[in-house]
Amino acid sequence: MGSVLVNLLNSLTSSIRDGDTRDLKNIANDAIKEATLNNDPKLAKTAVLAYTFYKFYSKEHIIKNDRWPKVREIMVASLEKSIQSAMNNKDEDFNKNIQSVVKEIKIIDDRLSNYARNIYEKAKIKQASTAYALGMSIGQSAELTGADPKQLQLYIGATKIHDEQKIKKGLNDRLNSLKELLKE
Amino acid sequence: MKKIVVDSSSLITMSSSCILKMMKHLAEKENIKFMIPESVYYESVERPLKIKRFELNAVRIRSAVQSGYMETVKTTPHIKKTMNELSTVTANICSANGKKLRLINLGEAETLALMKEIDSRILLIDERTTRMLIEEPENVMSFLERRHKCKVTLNKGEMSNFRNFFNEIRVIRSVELIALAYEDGAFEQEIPKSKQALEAALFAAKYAGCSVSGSEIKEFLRGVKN
Repeated sequence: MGSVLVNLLNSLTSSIRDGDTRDLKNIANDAIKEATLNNDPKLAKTAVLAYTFYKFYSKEHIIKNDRWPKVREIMVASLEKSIQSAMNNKDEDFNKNIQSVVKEIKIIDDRLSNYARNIYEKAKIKQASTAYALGMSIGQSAELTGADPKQLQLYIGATKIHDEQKIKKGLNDRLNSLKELLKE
Repeated sequence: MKKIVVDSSSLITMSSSCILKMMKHLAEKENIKFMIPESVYYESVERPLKIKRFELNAVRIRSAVQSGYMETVKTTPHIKKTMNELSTVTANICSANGKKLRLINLGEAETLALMKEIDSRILLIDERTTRMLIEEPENVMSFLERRHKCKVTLNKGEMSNFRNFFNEIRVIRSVELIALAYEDGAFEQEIPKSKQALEAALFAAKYAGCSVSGSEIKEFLRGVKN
């Protein structure tokens, strides 16, 4: 499992350096899938970071900013340290290094974003909604990714996730069963 | 008096609109009391009261508790014990590629534990996975297989343990309460009664995250007179 995390983090650092948005999105998808299968917050964090960078690269005013190359290298350096921590199973160091990346992300978000802010928080919600689509509960998806459960639920409500569900017991059946129970 | 245990997902749905106030009238008409675990109250009221975006929802829930039609239940050591048992059982039900899937979290397990503690038979939950686990565990397995594109196995022993917990429980969502409120007159005490208002309320619940499909609502509305 550790090697899955290390492989994903290695791919993530390369894709950030290359600015490969397709890869970043794929890494986010693979990482959140692995995170749900393994109930692993470290993989979930990797998914959130990959999606955050995917969003950064979709915003020209961020990546064309003079400060971007320098900040990107700072973040990649922290990610490389986190790979070492993951390889040595040092969870505390891993979290510390990831937190350094998150700190830089928040600074970019604050200073370089125009209107769309909180890219990192939105990435958490997005990845949590994928975890929900993969079968986790809302609470479990929120806990795994660190997303706010309320924001997550409202986000899910705006998607088609619930429209794709097979209906076993419809509104009418449930209503009738409720009325019977209340009569008892 | 019937006690309905409310999961945090339904609290989110109901407090996102005027549906919560409608529930006050429904509780009076149907002699219902809505019960929520202490931790859910904290997560839905105490914490959001400090977040401007969710403050209004928190105030609505606090007001429901103050009015008395909603009641919080302390997390007793016994509830905690049941909650931990449930958490273990649910984490052992499904495995994918030999890995156990943790489908629900402790908060959701606490709501289920409260059902046992107060001997309630009605669970109000808008969240999909916990509902499916209670009602159709076999379908959870096929659902997970479709989503993860891998073999998912069901631990029949743990499934049976889980079933023993919830044999008699019926699951409803916010949309069923809205439909009931429409039928028994509680609805019109908040919003003038019309089929359009009912449709709007049902879709408001859906967009607030209640696990109901648009086609399910439309199908239901076909049977409602103007």
